[in-house]
Amino acid sequence: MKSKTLLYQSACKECGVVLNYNKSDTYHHFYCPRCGALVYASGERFIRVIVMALSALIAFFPTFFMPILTLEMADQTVSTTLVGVVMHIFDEGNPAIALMVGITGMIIPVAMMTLLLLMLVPLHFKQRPLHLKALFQIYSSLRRWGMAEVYLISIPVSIIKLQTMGDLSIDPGFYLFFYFLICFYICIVWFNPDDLWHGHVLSD
Amino acid sequence: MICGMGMYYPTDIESGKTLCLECEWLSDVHERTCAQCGARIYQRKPMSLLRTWSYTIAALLFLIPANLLPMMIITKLGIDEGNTILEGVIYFVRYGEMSIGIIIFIASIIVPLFKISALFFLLVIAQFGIVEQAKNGVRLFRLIERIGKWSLLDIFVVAIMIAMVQFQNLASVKAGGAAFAFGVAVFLTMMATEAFDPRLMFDKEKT
Repeated sequence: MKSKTLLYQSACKECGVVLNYNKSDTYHHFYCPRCGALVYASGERFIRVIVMALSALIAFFPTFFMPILTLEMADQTVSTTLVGVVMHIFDEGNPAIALMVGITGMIIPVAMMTLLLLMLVPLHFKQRPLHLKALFQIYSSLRRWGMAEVYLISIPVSIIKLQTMGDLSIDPGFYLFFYFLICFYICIVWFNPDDLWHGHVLSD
Repeated sequence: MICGMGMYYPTDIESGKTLCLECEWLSDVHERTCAQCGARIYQRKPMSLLRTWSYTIAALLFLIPANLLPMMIITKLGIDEGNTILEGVIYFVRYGEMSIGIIIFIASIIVPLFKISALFFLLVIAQFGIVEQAKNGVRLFRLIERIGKWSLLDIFVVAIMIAMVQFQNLASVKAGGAAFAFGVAVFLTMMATEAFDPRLMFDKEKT
C-alpha cells in the first residue's frame, strides 16, 4: 500500500509466516516456504468461470423434476428425483437427515454458483457488484460445506445395493446431475477469490 | 526463529499483523475487521484449542452409537432386518462387490477414526508446543481437511435407499439410529477441523 511496487504482502494461513510475492505474476502457484501450504493459485478469467457457473445452473434445475433412478419390483415401480429423496426422508420422520442431505448436497452448491454469478457478472462488465463484501463472505463460509460430489458418488453405490432388490434403471436426471457436478467442480477450481480484489478489472 | 537451512521467517505475530482468513488481506494487528472484504479478523482463531478439543471428543462419543446401532432397517415381507455400518460392508464383500465394500469401509470406518486420531495428534502438538512436529502436523491437517466430507457418503446412500425402496408390504427401508449419530459425528469432526488453527502448532517457537 505504501509504494506502487507490485510486491504484495500476505501471510501463510497455515503457519503464520509473512510472505512477499510479486502480484503481477498471476500465472504461477505459490507455496509457503516454511510449511509448504498453497498460498496463491492462479485463477481463470472471469468469463470462463461465468460460463461454467451458468452451465452448471442450467443443468441443475431440470434435475429437480427428472427422475434419477427407477426401481421395479413385482409390478410396482418407484422412481425418485434428487428433491424426492429429501422430501421422502422428511415425511418419514427423519428431518435431521433430510436437512443434512438437502442442504449439503443441493442447496449449498446451487447457492455457491448463484453467488459466483452475482459477483463475477458485474465485474466482467467492469462494474462494482452490489454488496460484494457480503456476497464474498457468504461464498467463503459455504465453501467447505458443499458436498454435491459426495452425493454423486453415493448414487452408483446405491445402484449396486439396489440391483439385488429388483430391476433398476438409470434415468436422465442422473446424467444431468453428473454434468452439473463437473461444471461445479471446474468452476470452483478456476475461480480464484484473490482476483475479486486484485484483478485487473478493478485496478483501472 | 531458525528454520530449515538457517533461514529466518518473521511471522504475523512478530510483525504485528493480522491475516484475514477469508481473503488473505494482511491488516494491522489493531484492526478488528478486514479492510478488503469486511470479515471479522483475529490473529488466531478465538478459543481454537478449546473448541477443537470439545468437537473432537463429542465426535468420538457419537461414533459409538454410530457403529453399534443399525444404519438402516430393511423390511422384507414383514421381517425387519437391521444393518450396522460393518454389516453393510460385509454384505458387499459377500455379494462379490469387493470394491464397493472397500469404499464404504474406508469412507465410513477408516476415515472417521483416522480423522479423530489425527485431530488428537494435532491438538497435542499445539497444546504442548511440540514444534518439531509442526510440519508433519500441518500436512496431516491438510489431509483431513480434504477427506473430511467423504465420510458422509454412507448417509447419502441410506438417503437414496430410503427413497427408492418403498414397496409397502413387499420391501421398505427406514433410517436406523446410526444414520443420525454418524451424521452428527462427521459434522463434529468437520467443525473440529474448521475450529483448529494450524498456526498454533508453529507459534510456540518464539518461547
